[in-house]
Amino acid sequence: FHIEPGTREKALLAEDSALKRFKSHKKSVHKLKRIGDVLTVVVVAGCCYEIYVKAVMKKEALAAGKSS
Amino acid sequence: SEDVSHMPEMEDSDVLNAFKDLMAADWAELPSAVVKDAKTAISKNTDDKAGQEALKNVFRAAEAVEEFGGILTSIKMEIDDSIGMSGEGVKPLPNDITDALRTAYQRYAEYLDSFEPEEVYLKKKVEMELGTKMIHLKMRCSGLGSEWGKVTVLGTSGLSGSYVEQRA
Repeated sequence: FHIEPGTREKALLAEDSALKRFKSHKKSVHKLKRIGDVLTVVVVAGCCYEIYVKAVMKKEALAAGKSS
Repeated sequence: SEDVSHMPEMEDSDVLNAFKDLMAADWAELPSAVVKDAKTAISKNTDDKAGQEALKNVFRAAEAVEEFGGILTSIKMEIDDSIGMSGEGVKPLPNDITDALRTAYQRYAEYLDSFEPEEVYLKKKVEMELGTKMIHLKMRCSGLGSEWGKVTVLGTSGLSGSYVEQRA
């Protein structure tokens, strides 16, 4: 779903040689934030998995020591 | 008094709530929830066509103001970078920044002039949002043209068009 800009909005944001160098960074900053969020989730998931693996290995070692 | 601006009449409560959320939000960065509510209200099948049209106008203006505000912020950051951390690099502006300032003011003035008399509420909101950034630029430069005098502090406070402004 997309709303087409009106004529006055198009006039406000029309391409101009003087303003070409000063583009808005809103869209790219928004995308960067989302990428950062995704990376954060991946890192947190990796840490949780690491903790789980260490706990399981410790438990297995304990069981092996007990049985021997 | 006819000078007082009137909010448009709305019958559908969903459209009215989305309208109020948009008018209350800070347009420097539109919240995702407000954008989603506005889009839902606009695409809804309702009898309140006039309200939906008013909401659509506000939404168009909000998106355009968000983008143009980013352009003004980029110009401001460029000026700040060129003058140095403590202002030791103050000097006349290069031509590309003066051209950008002139064009930005022209766009701002034309946009404000393009609103209809019954859209004064939206013009005030746009003036409040963009006027703040225009004043940030104005405070960083001297020797601006006299037309920049129209960008007043009152324009950023929402009091534009009120008794105080007219008396001044």
